[in-house]
Amino acid sequence: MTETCLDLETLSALVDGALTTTAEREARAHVACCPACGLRLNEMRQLSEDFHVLPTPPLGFDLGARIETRLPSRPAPRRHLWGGWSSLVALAGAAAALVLGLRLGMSLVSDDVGREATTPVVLAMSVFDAVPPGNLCPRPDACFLARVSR
Amino acid sequence: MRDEDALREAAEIARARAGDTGAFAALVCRYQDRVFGFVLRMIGVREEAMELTQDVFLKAWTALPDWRPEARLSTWLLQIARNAALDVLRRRERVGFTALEALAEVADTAPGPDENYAGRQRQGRLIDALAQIAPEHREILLLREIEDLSYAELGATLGLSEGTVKSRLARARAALLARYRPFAGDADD
Repeated sequence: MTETCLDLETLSALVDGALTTTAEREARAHVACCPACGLRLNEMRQLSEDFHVLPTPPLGFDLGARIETRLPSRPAPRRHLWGGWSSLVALAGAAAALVLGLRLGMSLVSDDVGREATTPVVLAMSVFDAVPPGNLCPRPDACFLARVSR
Repeated sequence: MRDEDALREAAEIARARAGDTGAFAALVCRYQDRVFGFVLRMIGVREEAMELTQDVFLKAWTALPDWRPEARLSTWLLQIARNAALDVLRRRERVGFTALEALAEVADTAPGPDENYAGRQRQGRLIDALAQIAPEHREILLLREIEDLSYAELGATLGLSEGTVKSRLARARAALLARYRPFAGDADD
């Protein structure tokens, strides 16, 4: 049993059955031995019971029938051709990725497209290593730093 | 709610969302007293509460396509009603007028055929005391004690964490008990 009196929150939660099993057991043990907490708990329980016997004041007429004719017409539920905003965002993302991919691809290929159309020169490869990486070089002179600094 | 009722309500909601005014009227009929009772106890004036109840359902009709089945319809309606009632109370505050005069009227709606005089007096005192506490305390007590909302539902309806729900509920009970002692006044009645 706890020695100090229970706080309001604990008593209130006890009325609502909102304490954990352990907390509830401890609170009940304290209340059983503490007249002050017992009194406060009873007041809260009585309050709760008094609320439950309060009658519900009736509206007194059929509101549904009264407002039925006044309800504004509602447009049919919206149907999105591509499944709404999320699909549009995905579509835009895919398009952006495609454009970015193309641009990156183009940057790897020599800008002298007309002249090198049949054998594209990959300039970036020489950036990673000064030593030509063997058969990865599309052309021997493509893998030298001098070519990159052009 | 029984399964059968729940199924009927789900069908009515689906039809109402599709634009069936008759189905919506059936839903209004089912919930009008609960919404009205809550609004009346929040704002205190019967005529104003009747108008506000009507507004709540008109708003609900407009917003129904956005309703999600994760929330109970009753809880959703009470959330709309709560916001509407708070708007009224804020407007009153701005013009410096409190409508506590109507409390006796709320209490007058209470008596049933087999209630005794002391019981009616007690209910009247409870309603009086309820009107004297802060709206934030009043709403949480009404939603918990009368509408039986869980802590999670209270949090969702009032936009609070469950921890805040717990502490606010405790403070609301203390505030109400400070003004309402059910047995204290019986000897004087």
